[in-house]
Amino acid sequence: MRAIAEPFFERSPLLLGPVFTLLLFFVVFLGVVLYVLRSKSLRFEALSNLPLSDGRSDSTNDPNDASGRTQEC
Amino acid sequence: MSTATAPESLVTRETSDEPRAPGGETLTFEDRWIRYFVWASVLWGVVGMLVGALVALQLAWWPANVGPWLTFGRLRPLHTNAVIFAFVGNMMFAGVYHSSTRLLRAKLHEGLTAFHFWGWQLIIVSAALTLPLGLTQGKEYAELIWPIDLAVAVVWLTFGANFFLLLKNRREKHLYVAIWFYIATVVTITVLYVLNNLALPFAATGSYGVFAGVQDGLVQWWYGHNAVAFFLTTPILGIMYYYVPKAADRPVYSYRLSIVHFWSLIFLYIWAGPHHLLNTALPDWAQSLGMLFSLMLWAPSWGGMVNGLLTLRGAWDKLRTDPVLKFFAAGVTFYGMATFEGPLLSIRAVNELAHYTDWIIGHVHGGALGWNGFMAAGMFYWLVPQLYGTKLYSRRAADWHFYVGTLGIVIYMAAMYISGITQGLMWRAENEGGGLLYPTFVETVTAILPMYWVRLVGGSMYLVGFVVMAWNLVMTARSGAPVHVTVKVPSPLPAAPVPWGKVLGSAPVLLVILVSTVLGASAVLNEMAGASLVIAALVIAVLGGVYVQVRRVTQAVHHELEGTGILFTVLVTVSILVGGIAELLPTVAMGVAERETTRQTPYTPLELEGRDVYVAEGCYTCHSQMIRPFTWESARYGAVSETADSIWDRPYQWGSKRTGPDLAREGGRYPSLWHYQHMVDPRSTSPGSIMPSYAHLATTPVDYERTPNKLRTLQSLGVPYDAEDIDLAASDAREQAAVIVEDLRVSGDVEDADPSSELVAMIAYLQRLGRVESSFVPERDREEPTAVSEAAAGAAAGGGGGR
Repeated sequence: MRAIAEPFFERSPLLLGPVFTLLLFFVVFLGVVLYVLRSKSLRFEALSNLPLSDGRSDSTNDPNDASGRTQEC
Repeated sequence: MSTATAPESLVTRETSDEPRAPGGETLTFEDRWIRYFVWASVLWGVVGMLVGALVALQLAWWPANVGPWLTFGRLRPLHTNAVIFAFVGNMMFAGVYHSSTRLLRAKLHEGLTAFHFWGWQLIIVSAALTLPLGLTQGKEYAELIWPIDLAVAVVWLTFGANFFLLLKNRREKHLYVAIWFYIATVVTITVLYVLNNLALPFAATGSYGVFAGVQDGLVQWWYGHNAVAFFLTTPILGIMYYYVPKAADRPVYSYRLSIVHFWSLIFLYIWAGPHHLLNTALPDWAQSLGMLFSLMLWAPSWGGMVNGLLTLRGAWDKLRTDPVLKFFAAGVTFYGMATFEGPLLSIRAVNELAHYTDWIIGHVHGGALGWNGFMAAGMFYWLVPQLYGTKLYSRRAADWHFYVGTLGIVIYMAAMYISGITQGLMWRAENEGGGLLYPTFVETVTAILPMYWVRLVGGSMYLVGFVVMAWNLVMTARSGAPVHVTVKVPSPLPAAPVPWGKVLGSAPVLLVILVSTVLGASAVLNEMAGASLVIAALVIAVLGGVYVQVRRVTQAVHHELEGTGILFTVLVTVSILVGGIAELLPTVAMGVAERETTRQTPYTPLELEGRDVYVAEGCYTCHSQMIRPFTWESARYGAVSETADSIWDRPYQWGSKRTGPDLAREGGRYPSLWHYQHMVDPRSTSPGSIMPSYAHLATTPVDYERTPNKLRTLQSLGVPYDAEDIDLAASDAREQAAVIVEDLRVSGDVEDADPSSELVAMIAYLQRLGRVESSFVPERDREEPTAVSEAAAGAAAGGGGGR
């Protein structure tokens, strides 16, 4: 381990950053995966329906832009 | 006034499980600016693709390079900028604004949106004027000059402010997955664009970047790759997560998968930039990181693709009849293909063959035409009827667009794959004696010219399909009228106080503090003690994280996170900054140390002027300056490139495509007369060459009065020019130019070479490439009245075979 690490960090001690961040990613990734696996399905179902329920109640043509045009096809 | 029945379902579904205040209000969306963005995207899409067809023609038939303003080197940046920032940019703004107002149930700020729209169009027009004029920073996808960069920053921040105002004023507490991708886009593009364009101006239209050489290359591709990631991918993924469910009338396949997809993608993408610099002088560790993270990107990218495609489950039959779903399904499939191919190309052995060839052009067009273009078409075909309260004018025309577009992409990509692999193999082919089988570079170009014609056919088919779409959308709009959409929204709830004591004392926060403390201790200890503490910190982090999870303390963390826009944005920012800082900082630090010890001397004033001409003409769009560590590269071009070779280069010019040969060690390879004749008429020295003529350089003067200011600016950035160098820059440049002109006269009877011309400056620069120091020494610095030994300088450049 030391034989690998020493020549690598000789170039710059700042190289610890990428190594640490790589490991940090795996930790965060595992956390996210654990979270989604353990969460309740019902909550996700409700959230995934958000695009389908944009609360639209009415739509009218713009009187300023329409110039009285109606649907033709 | 007339009314129109909206084709969209009017059924209101309650989805959020959050408590709502009793009662309710309504919001009316006018969508005027969204319509404008749609039309701007369609218009600029036609323009950008027309320019694309023209540059494709120029590669197949060089006489199509008409005049200095319309050469390939100047038009290629115009094509890429128009397609990325004008076509996809406007499409993205339309989609982001439309879907965000619906998902967040909030209205856009009228003034900010208007400023955003007109500001962005003004930037596009400015780019369309300046790039053909040769006003460029010379970095791919970041060519715009500094005043336009400032305008981009202002307008982009206006977009960001407008978007975050939506978040602030929203009536839907939870942030749907599409919004996460939009947040990542706003934040990351801001960081990338600002950092990559840090520069010191020397004139109203020119500047030198803060970074140089390998550092500039790494920052550039950190930006360039993530411009693809966060401008061409994340916002379009957000659009996919909103519009595919809308068009299919069913929710996204897996919300769980979207969470993993999002966090993995934004964390991994930011690291992958170095895969554009594989097998170059970039440090090995950075190349390995770029490759590793690119390979890991396979998983989230395909997770997203699968999530998009499976959203259509149960609605596959609609693909036969619904053009919107056709385009979305094909677009997402192209996304899957492009994101499979991207990591594949990041494997060093594959990259060895593919880099600098047309394979990369085929790859990016699979993403641009298939993913971005088809997702845009799907969105427009769905959105325009909604915005005008009508139905699509012609489904048949939309179907025709789909088939001709798909066929066009397939023809385009097949041509580029054949061309790229052919050229890559020819570059490395050896004869029985071990030498190069195709020693003349131009042989490898003429061999692929038929594929350039095929590419033009494929691209033109796609363009024709796009024009048909534009006609169809215009007719659709004409058959309806702009609509106002009214939606029901819940009344806002009073804000609950944040229990800061409870938050700060919670297990996750304490765990982060503990791990940070141990890591901090490791930083002040040496060698194995420090390394041991790092390992201990990681063990604590992993075990602590698992413990916290097991206790289900984090059960609702993400759920709560989705309701807190600011915290969500902060976490996204941290995620993208972590990778960038960890990757860039060591390289920048090493560069500072290398500049202290390098033997490489800065460019002379004339070489610097010549370099600026090289950048302005866009020579980097066809010529690389990076000899990779392969025998066939050294045999053709000379000694392998090192970081020191480009240590003073602002911008770095390693390039990404070789339509012409590498120029890293061009200095001393040919006499100045050869360069003169080659630039005026490339085919006089290289029969079969497809390079445009640069005869105009022979009559375009260099303004030597601005040269001292250029040197002064570079001195401020750390280039070791002294006061005398700066004061005498103009006279030194004229003196060196006179030497070159005399050489041209003596060696080739060229009597009319203008010493103040850009062509002479360009020759000075080309003759410097690959040399540690210039072959020219001003008379004031000479101990004896003789020129510096050419032989010594040539030896420093290394050997090399023929081309």
